[in-house]
Amino acid sequence: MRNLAFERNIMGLKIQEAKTCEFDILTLGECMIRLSPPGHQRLELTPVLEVYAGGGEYNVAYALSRFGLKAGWISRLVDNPLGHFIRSHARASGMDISEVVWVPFDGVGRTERIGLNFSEVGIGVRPSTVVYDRGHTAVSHMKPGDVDWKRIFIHRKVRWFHTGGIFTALSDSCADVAAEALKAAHEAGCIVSYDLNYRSMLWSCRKAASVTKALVPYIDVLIGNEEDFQKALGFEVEGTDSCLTHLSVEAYKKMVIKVAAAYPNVQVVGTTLREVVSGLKNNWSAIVYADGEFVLSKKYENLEIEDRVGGGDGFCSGLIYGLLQGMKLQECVDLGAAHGALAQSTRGDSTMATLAEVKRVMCGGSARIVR
Amino acid sequence: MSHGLNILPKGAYDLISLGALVHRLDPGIIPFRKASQCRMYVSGGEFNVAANIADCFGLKTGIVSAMVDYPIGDLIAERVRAMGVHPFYKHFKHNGVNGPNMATVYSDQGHGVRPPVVFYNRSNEAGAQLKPGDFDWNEIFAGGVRWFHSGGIFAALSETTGEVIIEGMKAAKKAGAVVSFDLNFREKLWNIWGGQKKAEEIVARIAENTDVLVGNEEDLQKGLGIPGPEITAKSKLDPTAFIGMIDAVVKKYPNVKVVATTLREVHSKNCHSWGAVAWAGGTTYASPTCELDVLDRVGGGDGFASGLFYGLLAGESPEEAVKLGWAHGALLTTTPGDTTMVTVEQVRSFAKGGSARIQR
Repeated sequence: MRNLAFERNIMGLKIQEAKTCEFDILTLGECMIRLSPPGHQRLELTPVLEVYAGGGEYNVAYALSRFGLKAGWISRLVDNPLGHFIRSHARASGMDISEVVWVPFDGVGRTERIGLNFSEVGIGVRPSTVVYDRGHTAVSHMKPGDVDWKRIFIHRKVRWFHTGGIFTALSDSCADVAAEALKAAHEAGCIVSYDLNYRSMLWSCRKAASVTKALVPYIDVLIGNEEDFQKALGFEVEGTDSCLTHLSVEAYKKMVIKVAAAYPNVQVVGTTLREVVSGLKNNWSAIVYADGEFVLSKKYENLEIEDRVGGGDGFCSGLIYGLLQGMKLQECVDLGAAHGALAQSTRGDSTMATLAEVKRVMCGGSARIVR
Repeated sequence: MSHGLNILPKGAYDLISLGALVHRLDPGIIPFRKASQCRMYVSGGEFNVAANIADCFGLKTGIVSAMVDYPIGDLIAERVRAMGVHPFYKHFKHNGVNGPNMATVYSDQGHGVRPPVVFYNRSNEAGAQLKPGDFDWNEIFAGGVRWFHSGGIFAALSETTGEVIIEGMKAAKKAGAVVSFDLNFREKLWNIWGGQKKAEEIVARIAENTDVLVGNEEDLQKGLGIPGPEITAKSKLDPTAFIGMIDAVVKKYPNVKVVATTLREVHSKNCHSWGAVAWAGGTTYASPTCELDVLDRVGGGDGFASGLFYGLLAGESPEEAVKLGWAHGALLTTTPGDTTMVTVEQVRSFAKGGSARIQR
């Protein structure tokens, strides 16, 4: 182990000093162009689509950059107007994109594409839906060796590295890149977080579990709900109904204790608890396990939602922010839940909230008009 | 073929601009007195140059400016970042009631025979409060800077802003940068506090520190106090009158090595003839001329300046640099907003004489 300057040692996380590192947080993943009908129109009937940019791991870097941390994001982008749209979007948050790998456009998209998703925002009994068009994407062709992780983690220095199950699921070579990056980050003394984010359209449970199990030894902070732990890591949760209308916190806790026993290197486990009352009304809270105890966030009953996409990433980025800033566990969980709630108050995957708003909401600030 | 400029081969920044950031409200073709909706653009003559050179031409640029910490400031800062421009801000706190403010520019687009109308709300503008000593130029230029730019709009904001320009220019010169100034003479702004006399006095002191001067005949007359042309131009696109004034400019300011301007003849709101010309080291270089179908005229001049500076920074000949400026300015009038939405490939192709035929 090299001689590293650690600022804090909280909840078993030894975080490197900010002043010695070029990045507080670096994330690895895909950013897609999202096309959504205005309001709650149907995809198949809409004459107009609104354009957004987002992706699980990208949204985390985006939020943390807005919160004033030195954030960076790594991906593989096509040098065409869609890639440029993502570049502008990323730059607007202030994040560093100097390590993004750019590939030329072949003029057709036969070989390298920017992924698209068509998202319809549900209402009432009609749920939100997503249609992917993400074949042959540039990021899915990422392979070990494309990024010089040693240079980044040892010379530029990174306090916290984050990726997740969406990136890992994109292709076999992406799974290899995730393993390569996690290992390099771990060996360089960087905190590693991973959002399981199981997506059944991208891979099978069996495949997910075999790949993800090999990654967990390098992970310090693991994010995932009961379904993620079941399908991406093969853990059983008792007493969850398939519609997720009612969640058993006790069952989740039992499962997390099993996870912690199986992987003693994992210091923190967290998830959001979402109960779907209707398309636009959810009960929302979060739970985090660390140091042998569970902490529940403030609960948002009947939270009115504009767009649920990005809520989980909002929680994840809020939690990471709290841990990086050395806050108490209760504050970290509350900050994550508050940010997740705010992220769902605006359309689009990436947050539009400010840190001041998040802090106000987590302290119980009301939605009374601010004058 | 030399332009006489000594351009550093590299530096942490290819160009750093100094000026106020503004937001522009644009109700489209509806005049403000009947408007119910506006689009919002982020602008600033000096910023536009830095934004265009970063986003379209891919060089590293920065903006030195005032930033107010309130939602309008946040919006502006976000667009600055999105264009890839590195900010160097002096921060101001908004009191929630009357400022300090980020200035508002109101501009409708006009239509046909009805010209666009521009007016401002620059009351209690943070940018106008900038004064010498606010910025640590040595630190800003520490990694090297190849080009420093400012303009006549920022110079006109208050008694102190012209002094900030002179301070920045002197520091930039010391750092080895080429120094440019876009005269952009705005009578309304000067009339608020200094009038014509102050304008000439301050702009003259700025010109003494300038290598590359951008401005049309009117700018040269009113901003720089150069006597009007003796020859009457045949048309607005005829550069003879402008060129006739250059001798007087370089006689008064022997430090000036390049003088450039756009030539625009407005037939109707959407229909302009467009050309550009530069004088460099005793030779005049004229661009081709073209007819423009204008979608949004604001930013065309800044578009020319940024293309010209890019060309010179990239080591192109003055002739080629003028063409790139002319082409970029022309393309900028085809998109809404004040900053670029085109690519360097499109600029080079149009400069070569490309057509508007669909590219498939």
